[in-house]
Amino acid sequence: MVVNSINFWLFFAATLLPYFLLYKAGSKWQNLWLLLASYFFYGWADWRMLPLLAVTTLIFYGLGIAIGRNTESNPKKAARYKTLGVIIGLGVLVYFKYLGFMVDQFATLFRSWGMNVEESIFSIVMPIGISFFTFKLMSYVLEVNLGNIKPEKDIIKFGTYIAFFPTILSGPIDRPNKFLPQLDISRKIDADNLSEGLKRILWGMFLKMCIADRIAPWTDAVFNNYAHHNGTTIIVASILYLIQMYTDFAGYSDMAIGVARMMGINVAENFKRPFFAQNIAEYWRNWHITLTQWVTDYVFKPLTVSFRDWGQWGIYLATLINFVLIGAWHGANWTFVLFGVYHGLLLILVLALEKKRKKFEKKHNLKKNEFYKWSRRILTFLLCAIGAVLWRSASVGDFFGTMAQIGNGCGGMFTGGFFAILTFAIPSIFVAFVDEWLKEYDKKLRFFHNPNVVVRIVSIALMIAWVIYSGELDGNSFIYFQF
Amino acid sequence: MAIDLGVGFTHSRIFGNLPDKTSMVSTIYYSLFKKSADVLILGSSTANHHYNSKMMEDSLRMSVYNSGLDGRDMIYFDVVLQSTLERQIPKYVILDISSVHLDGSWISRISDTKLYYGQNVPVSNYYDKETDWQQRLKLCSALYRYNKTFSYLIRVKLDAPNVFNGYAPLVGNRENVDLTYYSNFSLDTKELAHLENIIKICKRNNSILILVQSPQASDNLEFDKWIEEYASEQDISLIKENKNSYYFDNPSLFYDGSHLNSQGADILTKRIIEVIKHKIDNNCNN
Repeated sequence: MVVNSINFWLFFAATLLPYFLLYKAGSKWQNLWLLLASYFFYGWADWRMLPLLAVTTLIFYGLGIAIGRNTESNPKKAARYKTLGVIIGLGVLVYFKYLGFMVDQFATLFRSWGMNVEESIFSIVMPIGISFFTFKLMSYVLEVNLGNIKPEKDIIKFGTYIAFFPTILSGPIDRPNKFLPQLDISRKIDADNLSEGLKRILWGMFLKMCIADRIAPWTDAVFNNYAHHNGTTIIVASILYLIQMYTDFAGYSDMAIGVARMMGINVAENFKRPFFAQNIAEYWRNWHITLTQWVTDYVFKPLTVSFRDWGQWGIYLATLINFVLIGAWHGANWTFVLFGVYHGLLLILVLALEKKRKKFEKKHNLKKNEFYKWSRRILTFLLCAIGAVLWRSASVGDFFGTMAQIGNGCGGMFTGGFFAILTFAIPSIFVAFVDEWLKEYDKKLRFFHNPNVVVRIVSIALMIAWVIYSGELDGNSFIYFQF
Repeated sequence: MAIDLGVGFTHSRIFGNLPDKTSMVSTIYYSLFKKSADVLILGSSTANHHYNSKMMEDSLRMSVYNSGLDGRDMIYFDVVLQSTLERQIPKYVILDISSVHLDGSWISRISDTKLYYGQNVPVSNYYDKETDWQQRLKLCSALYRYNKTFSYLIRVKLDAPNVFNGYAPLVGNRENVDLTYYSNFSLDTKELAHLENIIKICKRNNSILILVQSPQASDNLEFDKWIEEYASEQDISLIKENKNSYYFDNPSLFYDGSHLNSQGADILTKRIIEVIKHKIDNNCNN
């Protein structure tokens, strides 16, 4: 049930009405209703995975309470429960997401040594959204152990946090300390929340349906047959694919945030104008923010403490491990690992050159120079576009094959299906860019939030019309559903 | 609502007066609303590129229209035939057929006709009877019906005028064609129902239906067997040009693995003309 489908909206309407009617009954009843709706939603995607979600939720609920009981009296025992939680969380993730891949890799290795290993028949169905809800579960026990939150005694509330339907399939990965307190208060129907939520959903649909889904057929046609395309086509496809990735995932995040907002719940932001970043470090601070923050808080920071004796080299090593994990989180494929290594190395380069850069900027008075800023933005974008090809490639060999095509002449571009991009995606990209530019430079020009009601209504009506007229309306799946 | 009405009004005017060009939307428009002929050619890209309508007209002294369009399936062929009947009953219907027209893989392409929902009876009937309530609900909106049609309009402006009554010759040739065989065919019941409807319409109107399998480098043996048995059961002529080694011995007749070039198309067309002439002779003798 994708958010941009009629089925979802029927489900959402059927959820929302009783949800607000339960306002007077109290937050507990609202949470229970939300939990039931969330399980229904998750079960609609794959009912066979409901027991996994329920059992892991119960285990982590119990672990949270056990940690809470021992935090002061027996911190070592509490730490052991925390470790158990992390092991279970990672174990579930490894079993469902990586075990098949690992078995295949070992089989290939053994075969290369001349051993007779039969073709792998190991096949595990990966639960949808597993990377997102296991990270929420682990984050919960880690936060309880750190003493940042109290263990949650209300199982309904905890279950609602884990299974919350707008975010369970593709994030954002909410932290318990921000999310759980919101479930303590009864959420009443609020015109501001409804209108802001709807505007956010509309913008998400625009990004997804008018840009990402319009670009996808062309980039698929290019990357799936890269050997037949020249350098010009590969370069344009790489740039467009990064835009497609962003609008697909940011579009979903906007819709999830909008749906939650309509229910009176604030979900963490996942993107903040990443294409305006002037270096890779800034890019990752604004791209898939909830994942980056999760890994930074629970992996990078402890690692830098562990490696502190190694000085700057310790930070570089922690950075590399951090990014390999971010890459591998996306899936069981060497391309994702290499994606992490690539971004990790770029970030190390940024860190290593930081002092020299600042000195250079000071000397030439470049800090406020727009040309300098845009040059850095474009460079960062292009470096990320290379990373996007790596991310998109089916294998490492495919990535190098695709890159090799860039050197294979720069003749005319492949134009099959490019018309849809020219007529619909390019104007939409322009609108999205202007919106981000206005926000980046804090301009007062507003459309959806204009103080003049006529401008507001007309701009919203035009956007709805544009989405229906130019968007891909067949409910394509989201790229991040595979994680 | 006002935008929806405005878009509906302007677009219905524009898409109801398209020039006769080789673009997809023009072909759909002329097949559904304008063209009629004694010999109607139905099919996808193989039909579009393989049947020289001008050569057929000159030889048979009958009007010929090639409604072939890339990536279409049996549902589209049925809709086109029904639409043509409203103007003229064709004497001969040539249906260029292959497994992809019946296995459901191209079924979604019928959505390109949704802009004529409410204007063309067979199109409207298809959506009203064979699609779900969600689709019918969406069709209430003109913005939805004309979704992504703006790019079609640009194509209409850029594409060449249609001078061959639907036939689009391909120029270029192959040095070799590797024949590949496979056996994997699953019949889609919805597609089959539309094939049955085409047969029923032809029988009811005394139109002679001729099925043709065009020469293609990849040959689905399971489908070949199925269509042979089916044509025999239904007592329909089936011309198996996909088994004619002449084409494969002369790869220069191919544009690519799936399509003949204009020289290859002329040879295939002559073969069809012979079959039709033979049928005309038979009818005269009877």
